[in-house]
Amino acid sequence: MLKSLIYKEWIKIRLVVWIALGLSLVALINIFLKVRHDILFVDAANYWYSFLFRGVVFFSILKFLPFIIGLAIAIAQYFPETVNKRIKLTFHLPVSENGVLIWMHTFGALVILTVFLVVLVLFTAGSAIFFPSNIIRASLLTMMPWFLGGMATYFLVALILLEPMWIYRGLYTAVAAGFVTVFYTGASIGAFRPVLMPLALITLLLSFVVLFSGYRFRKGEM
Amino acid sequence: MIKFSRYILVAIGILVTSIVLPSLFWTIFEKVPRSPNIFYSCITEDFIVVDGSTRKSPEGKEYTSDEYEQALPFMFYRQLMADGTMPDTIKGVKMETPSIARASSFYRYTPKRLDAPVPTLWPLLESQSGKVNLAMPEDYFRIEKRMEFIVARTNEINEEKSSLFTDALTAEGFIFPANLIAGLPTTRKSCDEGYFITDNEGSLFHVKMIKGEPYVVRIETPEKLDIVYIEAVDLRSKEYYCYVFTRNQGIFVIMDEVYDLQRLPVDGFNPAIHTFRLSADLFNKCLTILGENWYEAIAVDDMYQVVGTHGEKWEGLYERPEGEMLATLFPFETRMRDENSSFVRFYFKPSPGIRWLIFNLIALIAAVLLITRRGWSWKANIPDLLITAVTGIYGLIATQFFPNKFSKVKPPAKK
Amino acid sequence: MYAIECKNLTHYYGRKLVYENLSFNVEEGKILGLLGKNGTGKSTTINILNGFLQPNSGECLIYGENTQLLTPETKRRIGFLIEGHVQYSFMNIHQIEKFYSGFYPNWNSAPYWELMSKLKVTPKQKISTMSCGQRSQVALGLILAQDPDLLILDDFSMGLDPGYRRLFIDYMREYAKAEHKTVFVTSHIIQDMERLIDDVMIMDYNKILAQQPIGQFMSGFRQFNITLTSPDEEIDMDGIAVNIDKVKDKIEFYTYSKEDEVKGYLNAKGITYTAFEEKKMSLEDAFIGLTRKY
Repeated sequence: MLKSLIYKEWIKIRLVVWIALGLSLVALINIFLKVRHDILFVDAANYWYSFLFRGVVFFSILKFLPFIIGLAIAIAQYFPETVNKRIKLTFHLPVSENGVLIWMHTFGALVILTVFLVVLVLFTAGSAIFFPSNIIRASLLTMMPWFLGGMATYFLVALILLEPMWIYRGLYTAVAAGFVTVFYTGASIGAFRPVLMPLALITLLLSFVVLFSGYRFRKGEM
Repeated sequence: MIKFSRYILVAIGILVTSIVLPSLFWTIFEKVPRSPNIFYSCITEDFIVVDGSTRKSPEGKEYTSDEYEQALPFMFYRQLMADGTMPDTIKGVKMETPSIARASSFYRYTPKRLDAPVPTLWPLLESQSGKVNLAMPEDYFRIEKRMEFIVARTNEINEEKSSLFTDALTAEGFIFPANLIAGLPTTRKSCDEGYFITDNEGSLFHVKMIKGEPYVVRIETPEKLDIVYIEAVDLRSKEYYCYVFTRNQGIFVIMDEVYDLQRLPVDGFNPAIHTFRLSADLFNKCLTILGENWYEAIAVDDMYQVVGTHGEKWEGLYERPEGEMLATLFPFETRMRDENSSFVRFYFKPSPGIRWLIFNLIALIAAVLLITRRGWSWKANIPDLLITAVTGIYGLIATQFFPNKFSKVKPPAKK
Repeated sequence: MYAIECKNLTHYYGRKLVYENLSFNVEEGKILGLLGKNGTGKSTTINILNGFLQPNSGECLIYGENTQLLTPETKRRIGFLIEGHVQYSFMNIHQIEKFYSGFYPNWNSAPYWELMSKLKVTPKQKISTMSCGQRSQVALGLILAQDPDLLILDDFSMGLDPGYRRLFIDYMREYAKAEHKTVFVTSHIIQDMERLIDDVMIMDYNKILAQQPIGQFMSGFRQFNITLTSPDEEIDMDGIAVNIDKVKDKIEFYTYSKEDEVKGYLNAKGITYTAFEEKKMSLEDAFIGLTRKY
């Protein structure tokens, strides 16, 4: 049953996943070609200096990528379920209603996590050519809130899409927009360090709030 | 599980509204807070308090622009020279441009510098290259298990240089890793004095590179200092190398060459929340500690002996009308940024006093009315009412945004 | 033994009453048709049956389980055709068969592929690009392959050509009877329904107008056309007519009473007429007679 469920979810999101991976790859290639180019032109020591003491973030094009991926996968996965209230079919499957949502959600989250990990691993590998571990660590620390924000976006957009009433979709969107903004407040390198754990914890808690929309749907809010 | 998921959403709703609503409020009502500059005049031998464009003596006498400039001849010597009003001598000392310029300095510390992400790689310049201009090195150092130099071009460790410096540090009794590293990683300074570094046990060291060789000095402190922040400066007078901030033992400067620690005569300074300002001229230094709504200024002579003090206190944020209004409307506020930190956190600021209880009560009544109107069960809504009672308008909004439709809904009463 | 038991259902949308204290049962092996005009609560009933709506009070049981809390085992015994033959239309017919087969141990793909072979669709064609009729066959095929004991078909006739509708009905009747399935079907197209159903339940706003075996309903509910002697005569037929339409001297009225009872009633009231005729009704005529034209 799980295999079937994953099969359906995969059919919905696979195109978006490949596009997300492709985009990420293009972004990473772009970053490192640019780093290589700049290091040739301004000298590596100066390039390091601009990161360390001027806060020039060479990977800033990655900033909204996780957000876009989270958003796109959430839409690809949950929008088809809302068309014609197709989620009824899903709830009618011989599985518990909460269970089916949790499995769908876990699968989606794992796929996003995989994409994110691929990006982070490739980024680390690419950075290791040009930078010492100190700069790589500071970079990863700086982009961590962006990736957490991508996960939070996925969870919240799922909640919004499955909510049966338009007015509440609007209200949820307002709260979600306010919350997701937190992850993307412009900040200097490493400034998010003390808040990463709380944000990660909240994101983890958000992982099953989609049940709330599912419940409201099943109790006939429409 | 589902009820729990709703409470998570309500909590997020409260978090978001407690960030957004007060920030909207401040956008509309915030006024520029008072942040005076205090100087000490060697002419009047008294303080001058500058608030925007008004300058006053501690007694309240207002200075005109000319009087102000003449009272601070070191700050405005170029204007005074142009006007021809610069005294030839002050206190028997002949006024010459180079000595004036050399003695003048300004410094400002804010808690944002203490609570901030710090670089872990630093360039160690050659201090005596024999060239007029300083040059950036091709490598950067870090002090973790040892002192390592990494060559930027190859991204590889220079083993030879690393061992050389690690050994020099170890010989002086340095315990790895470094705790604080402070220096001026720039070529735009009069000369290079390397870095002031505390080791893992808090001992203070001076490290620089002279003709490629390590120069390491262990700086003895009169007592064990809990150093939290060091800022190196490039004074033209070469009076001292840097400012040393301790958690609660005050502020020190490390005198050039001799490495004596001179304690600045300021008391009660807390580097986590207070701002420190210093303005120096040939005769005096004016040291100011600023809190949120007060300052304490101390003037010292060139031997760091106190020659005068002056302080002021004014209305705090929550004593001003807009602060009172905020403390009435909202039981607390959450911010992602704080004026005392460079880090992003959830800064939770409870409103002082109990005026917010009134608005919490109004929010609670609104929640009760909404439940009554919808004919929802009271028992199922007790947690919501409690949330609203505690978090006021935030809780009201959050519990309405994520409705509590778990209890069986009673059919509406027939008309 | 009942497959479906609904007891004392009361539901409001906001302050608007849908129905109050509605109760009905569906016997195992029977085909029940729920007929009603739009907005009379057909969808509400289907939603309650499928657990997508919690009524304000009362409950529905399917195989003894509250429909709000159906176990996976019971859900496995229910085939559900959503209004408009909604399916996962982002899949093609192979993908969707593969998907559903994982959930049902008794999955029997033969009837599905038999139906699919009659459709002129390409193997990789997404369901979303198919015609309404083709989609209905996919949805039907999936339910047949699931082999449920109870089929809930919500407005199966929507968007179907007459040919497909007839095909669907005939296939369903034969299948249900042969396999002893229980079927709960709603429709707002009444035509052809008498070919399918055993029992009829007709809903009007807030209430059930009729619930009985189709044969009993068709023979017991009658239409009489009368031509009055004097066209101006004001008549009410309280206590005997369910509905009455009067155009000048022509009267059409609907009743559960027999011809002699009606004649007796008219005589007793002193109403004179020049013509009296009982009209043979189809289910659709009877439905309109019962629920009125507007």
